[in-house]
Amino acid sequence: MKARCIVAMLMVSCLMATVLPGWVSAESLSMAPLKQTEGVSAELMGTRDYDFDFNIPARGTEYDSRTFTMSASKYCIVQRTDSNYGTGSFRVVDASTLAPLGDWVVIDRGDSALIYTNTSGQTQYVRIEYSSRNVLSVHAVGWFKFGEFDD
Amino acid sequence: MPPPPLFLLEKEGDSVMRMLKFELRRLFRRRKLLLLAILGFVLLMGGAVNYLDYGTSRRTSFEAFIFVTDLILPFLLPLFGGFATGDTLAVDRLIGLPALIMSRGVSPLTYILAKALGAVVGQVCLIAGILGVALLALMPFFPVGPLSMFSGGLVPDLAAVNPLLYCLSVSLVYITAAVAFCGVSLLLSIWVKNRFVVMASPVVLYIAALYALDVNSPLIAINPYAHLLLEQAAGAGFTLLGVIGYWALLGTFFYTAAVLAFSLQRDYV
Repeated sequence: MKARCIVAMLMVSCLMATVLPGWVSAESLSMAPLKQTEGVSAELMGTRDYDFDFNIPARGTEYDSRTFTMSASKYCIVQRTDSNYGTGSFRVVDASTLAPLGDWVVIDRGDSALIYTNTSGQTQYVRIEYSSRNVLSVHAVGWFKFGEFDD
Repeated sequence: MPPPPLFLLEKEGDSVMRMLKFELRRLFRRRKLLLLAILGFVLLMGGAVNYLDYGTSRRTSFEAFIFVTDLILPFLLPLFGGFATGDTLAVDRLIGLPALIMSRGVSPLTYILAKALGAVVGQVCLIAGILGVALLALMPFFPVGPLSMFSGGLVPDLAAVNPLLYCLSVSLVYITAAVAFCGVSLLLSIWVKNRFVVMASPVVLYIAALYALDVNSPLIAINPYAHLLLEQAAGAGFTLLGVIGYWALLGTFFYTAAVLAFSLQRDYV
C-alpha cells in the first residue's frame, strides 16, 4: 500500500510538472515592482491622489469606475487607510480592453504598495481592478496615488 | 487482593496500543486518505498557478508554499478534518462494531482512546504528507529563497532568515488545526449516527463561527478563520505560539470531551 501511495504521488507530481503553465518561465515573467511602504515621497515630482471607498468582493473581481491617464514613467501606488480586517489585491488594467498591465499586489489594511509603473514609453489609459483572497468581502478606503519618478 | 494500580495502567496501555494498531491498519487500508491526499495536492498546485499572477520582487519555492497554503488551506482543512478521519466512530457505530468489541472485554475508555489517537495519527499523516509533498514539488519550479511578497506573517524575522523553518512552523499550525477539526466530528459522532452530518459538522461550525464572530470586532480573537489566515494574523495581533495554542486548546477540548462522553455513555449501540 505504501509503495502504491508513493507511486501515485510521483505520478501526480509528474502530471503537474507537465501541465503547469509557465513553470519554465516562472522566473522570466514580468515581476511587479517592489512593494514600497516608505520613502516614496522623496522621489515624487508631482503626485495626484484619488480617493476610493468600496467593498472588495469575496469572489470575483471588480473595477474602479474611473479611467486614469498615465503618461510614460508614471507610477500608481495604492494606499489603504482603513483598518478593516482582510487583504485586498489590486492591479492596473488597460481601460479599453481590461487586459492586465501589471501583476496583482496584495495590500493589507493601513499599508501602501506600488502596483504599476508605466514603462511602455507611451501614455496609457488605465483602470484599477481589485479582488480579495478572503472568504469575506473587505471594505477598503484610501487613495490611488499617481506620480512620476524623478530620473 | 486487588491488583496494584500500576499493573492496571500497564494493562490498559497495552490494550490501547493493540486497539490503536487495529485502528490504524483499518484506516490506512482504506483508499479515502490517499484520494484526499491527491485532491489536496492538486488543489495546492492549482494555487501555485495562481501565484504566478501575483507581483513579488523574487519568486521562491518557500514564498509559493506560503502563498498556496494561505490561499487554499483555510477552506480545505475543515473539510479534510471531517471527511478524512472524522467519521471513524460513526462508521463503527453504523455497523455495530463498538458493542461487538466491548463484548470481547475491551473497555469503552480503551476503545475511544484508540479511536481518538487513530484519528489524530491519520490526520497528522494526511496533512503533513500533503504539505511535505507540495513543498518538495514546488522546489523544482522556483528557487529556494526568502519570502518577499508578504511581510513574513507571524514571524517576520524567521521568514527572512530561515524560510524553511518558517514554512515548517506554519505547517505545524495547519496540522494542529486539522486535528482540532477532526475532534469536532469525533465528538459529534458519539450522539449522531448519520455519517454525512458528522463529516460535514466542522465545515458548518467553521462557517457559522466565521460569520457569527465578526472579524472587525474583538471577537476576532476566537474566530477560527482568522487563525488560519496566517499572513494576516500578525495584523490581528496574533503570534505563532498563540495560534498554535488556540488550535491545540480547541483540539484538547474536543478530544477530551469525546473521550469523557463516550466513556460515561451507557448504550454503545
